[in-house]
Amino acid sequence: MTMKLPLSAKFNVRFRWIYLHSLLVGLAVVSFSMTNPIICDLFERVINSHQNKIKLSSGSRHGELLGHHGWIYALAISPNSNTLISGGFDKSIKFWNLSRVVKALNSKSTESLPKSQQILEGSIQDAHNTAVSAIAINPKKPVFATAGWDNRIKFWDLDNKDLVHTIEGAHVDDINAIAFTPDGDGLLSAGLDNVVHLWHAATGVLLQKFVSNSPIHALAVTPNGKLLVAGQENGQVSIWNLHTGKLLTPLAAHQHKVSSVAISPDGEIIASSGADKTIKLWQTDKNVLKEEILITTVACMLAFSPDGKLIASGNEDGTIKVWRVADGRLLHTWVNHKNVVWTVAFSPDGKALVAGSQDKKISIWPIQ
Amino acid sequence: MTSTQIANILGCLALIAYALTLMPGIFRVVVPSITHKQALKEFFKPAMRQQLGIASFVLAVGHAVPIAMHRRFQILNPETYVFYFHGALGLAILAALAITSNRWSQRTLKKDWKKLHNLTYLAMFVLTWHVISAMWGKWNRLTVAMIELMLVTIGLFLLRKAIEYTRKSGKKAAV
Repeated sequence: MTMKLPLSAKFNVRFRWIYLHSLLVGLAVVSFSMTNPIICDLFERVINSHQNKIKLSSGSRHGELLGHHGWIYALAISPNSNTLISGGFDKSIKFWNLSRVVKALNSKSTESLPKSQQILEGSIQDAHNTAVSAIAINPKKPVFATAGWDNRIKFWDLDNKDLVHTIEGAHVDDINAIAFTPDGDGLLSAGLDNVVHLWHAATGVLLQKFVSNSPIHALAVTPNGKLLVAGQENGQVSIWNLHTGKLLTPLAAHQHKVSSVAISPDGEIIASSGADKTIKLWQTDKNVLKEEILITTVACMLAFSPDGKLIASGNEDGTIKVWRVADGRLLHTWVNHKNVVWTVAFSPDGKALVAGSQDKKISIWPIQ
Repeated sequence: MTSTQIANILGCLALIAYALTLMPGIFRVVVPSITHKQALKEFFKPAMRQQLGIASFVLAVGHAVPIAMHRRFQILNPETYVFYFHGALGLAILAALAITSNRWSQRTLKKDWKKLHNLTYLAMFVLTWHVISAMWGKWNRLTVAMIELMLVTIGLFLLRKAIEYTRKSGKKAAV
């Protein structure tokens, strides 16, 4: 005759080890993490992402575009402000009629905004083998470039959306940022392999290499095409002379990773944001700190308005903030996204601010 | 060498350590003569298998953390696990196996321990899927070598199962 154990005893036997092991592993993880800055940073992100879920609603009338099936990492707006291009984790590139949304947002009538499907003008599925991490539009020609975690850079025709050419193995690691030179002849790319490459945009020939001492997360070029600015993982902002290839200034800008850099339209101010939860405005010619803005979260992306008076930040807590450049005063905080806002861009006509988020939504905010 | 490259090398080492944990079981059936070799005696001891399993998990964590940080994954976002299902599942299996790779767990769990450790065979397929999926479109020599390693391991495992099945049916027929 066999004796049956009561259910509670069975439970004890089966799950005692789970409990004890979880406890031990938990203790080990906590004690390790308390001494490890990388893990601390990771936990901070976890808490931030949790807080994001609590935030709700928005303050003003805005448009929303739905269509991506993955996190949105990159946005770019055509020079005539008509077309918005978006890309992200779902490997696709989508084309949206931005001017139509902005027109509807600015109209005084209370009619509902057009639906995302009506705004979507086209899509390229599987544009890259992995996530599309950066998009840039050539300021002089109807061409745009995309970069992905597949280490490729692709050039596309903006009118017919055809692939023009591909730079295979442009970097040996993930590409984080690309930017066209103001004359449209060159394309700069940077990534985790500590290198900025200058490519001939039409042929894909490598023209120059700028070697950094840390992975690069952000990139910008001054409007006169003379300076290249790169934001690095070690907190430095490096400034190179684009023509000579000489490193001019390695600014010890932030305590932690530089997540974004932007240059004002007149080229006089460099803005940088870092994982230390600051946005810093630097005078380009003197490399002097002009303004330091403390924010309660990490600004993932910065963008100057076309008139250079405003700077917008897409933030880790899901907010979009707009600051006045002259005195660093916060003008607007828009809360619409449930998760990190990875990218923001002003339309070149200055009528709208566009943001792309981890919640797979693009939001469009009219600028008065 | 970039941090992602270092992370990928750690991932490869994790795969090698994992594949080695499967080899004693496979060799015992497929090439039984090898188990008597003096030089390989240590390799066939359960303690070695346990240590390799734990090493595999530690290396896998070393692979996953920098990549998750560089690619800005959010741990509390469930979509992270949907989009990286293969990687997350592989790591979870390796974690479960590493945590229970000790005598106390073995004694406490008894038959359930064996059931739990059968997950190691599921990991074989999950990790192969992970390598192919994560490196799709940017294969290098290391990727090819790892896929070959995993395919050879799967092949040997299937051979082991085929031999065991044949022996079992032979015994049944004899009875």
